[in-house]
Amino acid sequence: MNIDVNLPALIIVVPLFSAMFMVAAGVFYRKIVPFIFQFVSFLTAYFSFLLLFRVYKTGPVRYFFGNWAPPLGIEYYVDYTNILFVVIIASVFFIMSFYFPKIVNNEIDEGKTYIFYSITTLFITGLLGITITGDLFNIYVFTEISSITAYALIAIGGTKKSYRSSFNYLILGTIGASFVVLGIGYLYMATGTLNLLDMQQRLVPMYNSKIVVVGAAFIVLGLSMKMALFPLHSWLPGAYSHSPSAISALMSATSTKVMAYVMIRFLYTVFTPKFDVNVIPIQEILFIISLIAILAGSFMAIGQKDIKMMFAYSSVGQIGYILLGATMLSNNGLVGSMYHFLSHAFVKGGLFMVSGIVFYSLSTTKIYDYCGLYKKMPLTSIAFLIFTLSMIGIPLTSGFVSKWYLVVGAIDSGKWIAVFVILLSSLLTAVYFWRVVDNIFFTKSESNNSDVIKEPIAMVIPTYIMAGVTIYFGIFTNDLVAFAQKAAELLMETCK
Amino acid sequence: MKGHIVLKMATRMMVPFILMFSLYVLAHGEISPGGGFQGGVIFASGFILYGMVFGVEEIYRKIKRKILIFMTAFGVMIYSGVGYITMFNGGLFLEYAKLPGLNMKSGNSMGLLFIEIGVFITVSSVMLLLFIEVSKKYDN
Repeated sequence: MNIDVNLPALIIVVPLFSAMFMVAAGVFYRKIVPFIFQFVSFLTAYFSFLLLFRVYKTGPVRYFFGNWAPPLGIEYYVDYTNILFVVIIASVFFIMSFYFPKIVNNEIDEGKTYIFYSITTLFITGLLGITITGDLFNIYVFTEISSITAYALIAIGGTKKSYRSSFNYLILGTIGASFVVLGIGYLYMATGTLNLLDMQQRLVPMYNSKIVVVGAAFIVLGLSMKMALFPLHSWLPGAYSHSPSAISALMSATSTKVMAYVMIRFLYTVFTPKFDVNVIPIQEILFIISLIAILAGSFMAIGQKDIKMMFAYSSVGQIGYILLGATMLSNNGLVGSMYHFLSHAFVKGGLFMVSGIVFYSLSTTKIYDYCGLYKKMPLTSIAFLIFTLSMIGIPLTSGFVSKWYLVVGAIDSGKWIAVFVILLSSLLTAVYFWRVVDNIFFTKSESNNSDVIKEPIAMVIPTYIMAGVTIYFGIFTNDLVAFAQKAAELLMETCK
Repeated sequence: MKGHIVLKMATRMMVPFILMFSLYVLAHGEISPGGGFQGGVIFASGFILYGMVFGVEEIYRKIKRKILIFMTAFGVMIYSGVGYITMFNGGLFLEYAKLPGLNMKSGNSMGLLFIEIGVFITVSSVMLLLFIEVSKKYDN
């Protein structure tokens, strides 16, 4: 097999095949499934890094399925933008696969674990598929794969609340997905093609057509729903806070951000910025909505008593940042957006992992119960501190770099209000996170029981790897920024 | 259902034909209406009819639930396995022309049949699983 040629397909097909293999093997011998899971995550991450190097060396890669050429066949199109997203998702999946077994055994019924691992792998397959594909309908199909698995994963915890939030997400997610497919249908009707690059060419003379405008509106609305943009976010807090800890970590790190990536693809590759600015002002509208989302997410997070709920509302705000960078029509804004994708994937994933460790040891998610945690679980508390600093945007963490580029992008495009909002939101982030830090480090717990608890090392090490990545990309920023610049330039080419 | 002799005899006579017909639909998928999905549904409906007349316990006795779950996964594995074979043979994913021992013409026809068999197995076992899960008695 020529691995080098088949890399784009292998990234999808290996987890897809193995997800099924896990079920087939798990029926007869359950204990082997976590090892298959870890091996698959390793393979996926390995292939994604190989593809990254290949794209870095030779430029965008196109892969034709079944060797059918693009307008007819399905194409996987990998350029500088989406390889970055693929690598981040695959590596988050790889790191978390070592965090999974312990907490899964703790929270999921033993009879369901092999199904759980299989569905998780399918979920990641869907997300990787969305990012890597160059075909519109394929994006929809993979969206469905990732959402249907997500509904199952949220409900697998088996509490009443988890059923309710899964159902809530099911309804809203389905509405969002059907808007997306409706929009894709309109565009297909207008152009007769489903290939992203082909559609970009064919749409240019049709920008004033009503069909195209309606299609664009449907797609933007559907995607905003799937990515939990502020007024349409109501499914997200429940879905993140009532799902099993492992799943809230994995989902918060990947799922909504992938939809933000699809939005970037639509704004820049399918519709060029000329359409977004001149025909209907999508950029302007999304710019304002993302500003509102940033502030609203932060404000709602301040009042929460449950730590997972607080993280979830903070995610609503962070999605605003990623979209904000994409709507400013400047290179630096896009760089900031991509950097924030990386930063937030590792930081929010890590924070949910911390809350998972605490839940594993103390079975609580209330912020009040975090009092005096430093005495009981020092390693976990320090990891929490590192992630908090990155969330706020203290220098030497990746959160600082991403916010820096977002601010520079805002200044470049003359949108000073964005600068003000980013700074204000950083302050608000400090307010609601410092409340928890204060509880952990400086408040004594009321009960006298402050013995040191043995922290589960198998879960602490992956958390520290996440923290290490955050700090690494806060200090050694050059390579990634250069790569993201390249990606942004490729996206902005359609501007001219 | 005790004593419904007509129903039982009719079912006994019909089920083999239903199963046979499903294989026919499967095999002619690429040249006429039909294919793996439709064939799979018909195949499962034969068993479901049998289960409705003779009781779900009879199906349990014939097919274990474990095996059904295994088959569900196995069908998808056949589908992507065909893709792996073409990749190992130097082609791209699901490039049927590169299947071992087949050329452009026969490969495209046979390759389609192989993946339809995968779809057939998955669909039929999922349908049966759904029927069994829905008709389960909640006696706890």
